[in-house]
Amino acid sequence: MHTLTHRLLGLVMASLVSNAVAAATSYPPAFDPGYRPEASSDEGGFWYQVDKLERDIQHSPFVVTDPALNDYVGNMVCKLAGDYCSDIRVYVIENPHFNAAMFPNGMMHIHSGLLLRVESESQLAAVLGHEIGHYLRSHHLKQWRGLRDGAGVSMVFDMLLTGGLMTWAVMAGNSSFGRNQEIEADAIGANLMHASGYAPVEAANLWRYVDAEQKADSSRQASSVFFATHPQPKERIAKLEAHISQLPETGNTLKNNGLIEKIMPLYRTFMANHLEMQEYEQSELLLAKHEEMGYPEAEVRFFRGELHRLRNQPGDQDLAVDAYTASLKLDNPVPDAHKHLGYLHLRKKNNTEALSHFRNYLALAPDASDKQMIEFYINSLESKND
Amino acid sequence: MIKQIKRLFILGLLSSLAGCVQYSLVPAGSAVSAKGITVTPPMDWNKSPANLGKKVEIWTRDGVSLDQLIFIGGISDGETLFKSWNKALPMPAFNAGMLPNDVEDLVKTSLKNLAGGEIQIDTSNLKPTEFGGTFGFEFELDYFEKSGLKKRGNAFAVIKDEQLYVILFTAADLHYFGEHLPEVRKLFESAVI
Repeated sequence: MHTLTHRLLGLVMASLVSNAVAAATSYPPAFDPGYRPEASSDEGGFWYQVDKLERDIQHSPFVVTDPALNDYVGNMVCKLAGDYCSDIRVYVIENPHFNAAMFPNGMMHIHSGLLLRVESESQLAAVLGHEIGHYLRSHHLKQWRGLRDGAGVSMVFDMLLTGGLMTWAVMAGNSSFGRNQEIEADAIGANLMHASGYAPVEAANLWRYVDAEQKADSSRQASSVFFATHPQPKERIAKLEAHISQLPETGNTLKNNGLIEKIMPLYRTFMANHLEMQEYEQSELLLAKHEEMGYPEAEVRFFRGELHRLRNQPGDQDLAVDAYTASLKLDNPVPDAHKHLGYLHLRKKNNTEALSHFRNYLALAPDASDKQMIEFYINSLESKND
Repeated sequence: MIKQIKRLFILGLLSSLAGCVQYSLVPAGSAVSAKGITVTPPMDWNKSPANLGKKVEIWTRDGVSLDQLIFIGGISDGETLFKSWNKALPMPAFNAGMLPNDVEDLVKTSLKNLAGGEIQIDTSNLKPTEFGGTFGFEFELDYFEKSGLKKRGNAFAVIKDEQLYVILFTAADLHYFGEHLPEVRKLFESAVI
C-alpha cells in the first residue's frame, strides 16, 4: 500500500486550478460542517480509501512537523474556511515543486516548494482558498463519480482494489478538474480571501509569477506537474482578474504578516531541496524574488553562491565566489559560505585565501561534521606555506 | 486495455525470470575487479544484473531492496555516475577539478535522481581516508525511501588520474546497515585501483 500510496500522491498533487471564468455568484457549500457520509454509501467507500491514505501520510517522513509553521498555515485555513475549520487538516509536505492538493475527506497538502514561492500571506491564502473551494463544492466526489459511471476496464478492476481511488488519482493527475469546477474554485477562493481581509488580487499575481518561472526554465518546459495539467495560465489569470474586479472594494492589502519568519527556520532545507532539482533558471528567479521580499540577505546571497557552485558552467565559479563573499559581509552569515570559498580558492590555487576561509569556517562551526576534512586541508595548506 | 495488461504481465514475468537467471555469485576470498576497482570480499556477495550505467556494478548480500554495494569506476570529466533515465531529472556530471565537497553533492544528487528525485538525502561526516593507497575521502548518507524505509549509507571516493572512483554502500537502517558495514569496510580496505 505504501508504494501505491506514494504513487497516488504524486498524481493527486495536480489538483491546483486551471481555467477560471469571472462569475460573481455565490457558491453554497455542498454539505454542512462536520459532515461525514454514510459508511455504506459510495461516497463513504471513497472516504474510507482516502482516510487510509491520510493515515499513511501521518507517518510519512516527508511531512514537515515544525509546530510554528503548521500552526500558521492551520490558522490561515481556519480564517478562510470559517465554520469548516475543524473539518480540514493541513499537511505541509517537503517537496520542492509548486503544488497543493485537497482531498474529499478534508485532508489538504501544501508543498514546501509552494511556501517558498508565495510572496505574501495573501498569496498563500489564494492557494488555500482555492483548495477549500474544491472541497466545499465536493468537486472530487463529482469527478470520481463521473469516472466511475463512464467506467473503463481499469476502473472496474480498481473498484475492487482501491474503491476507484487509483483511477481517480490517475485521471485527476492527467486531466485535472473540469473547467466549471476550476471556475468555481478560483471564484470561491477569491471570495474567501475577500471576506477574510486578504487582497484577492494577489491570487492573480501568484499565477503570473508561476507562469513566468516556468517560462524562465528553458530546459524542461513540459516537466512541471502544474503546467502539464494546467495549460492556459494567461486565460486563467484574465478570468480571475475579471471576477476580482466585481468584488466590492475593501482596500485590503494584508501582506506578509509573519510569512518569512515562519518559513525562515526551514529556509535552508527548503532552498537546498529546490537547488537539487537543478532547475537553475527557476532558482535564480526565486532568489531574486526572495531578495525583494526581504528574506535575510545573507541567506539569499549564500544560496546564489550555491546555485553557481552547483551549476558549475563556465564563469560560475567566479560568480559563486562573488556571491559567497558578499553574503559574508552581511549580518548573520552562513558558516558554510567560508567552507565553499575555501574549496573554491583551493581550486584556483589561491592558497592564502583558501586557508583563511577554512580557518574561519571552523571558527564559526567548531562542531562541523566535516571538521576532519577541513583540518586535513588546513594542515596541507599550512605546510605549503612553510 | 486488456491487451496492455497482458503485455505488462508478460513483461513482468520475463523480467523476473531474467532477473533470477542473471544474478551471479561473487565468492569470498578471491580478488575481483568491479569497474576498475579491485577488491577482495571477505564474504560472499551477489552481483545484480541491474544496469544503472556502463561504469556501474551493484552487489548485494540480502537483496537490493535491503542493501546495495555500488561500484562506480573510471568516471571522466563530463561523465555522469549513472545513466540518465528521465529527461526532467538529468544526472549531474563529474568534473575533473572537483574537490571532496563537490563530489559529496555529486553523489547525493545522482542518488536522489536515481530515485526519481523524490527523496531528500542528507550527507555528513566528510573526512579524508586512504583509498587504494592514495588520498581519498568518505562520507555518510541518510535518507528515507519513498516507501518510508529509512536508509543509511557510506560512500568512499577517490579521484585518480582525473577519474572518479566510488564505492557506495546503502542499506536499511534497521539491522542491515550495521550488520554489513564492518564487512564493507574490510572490503574497502582491500581496494586497489
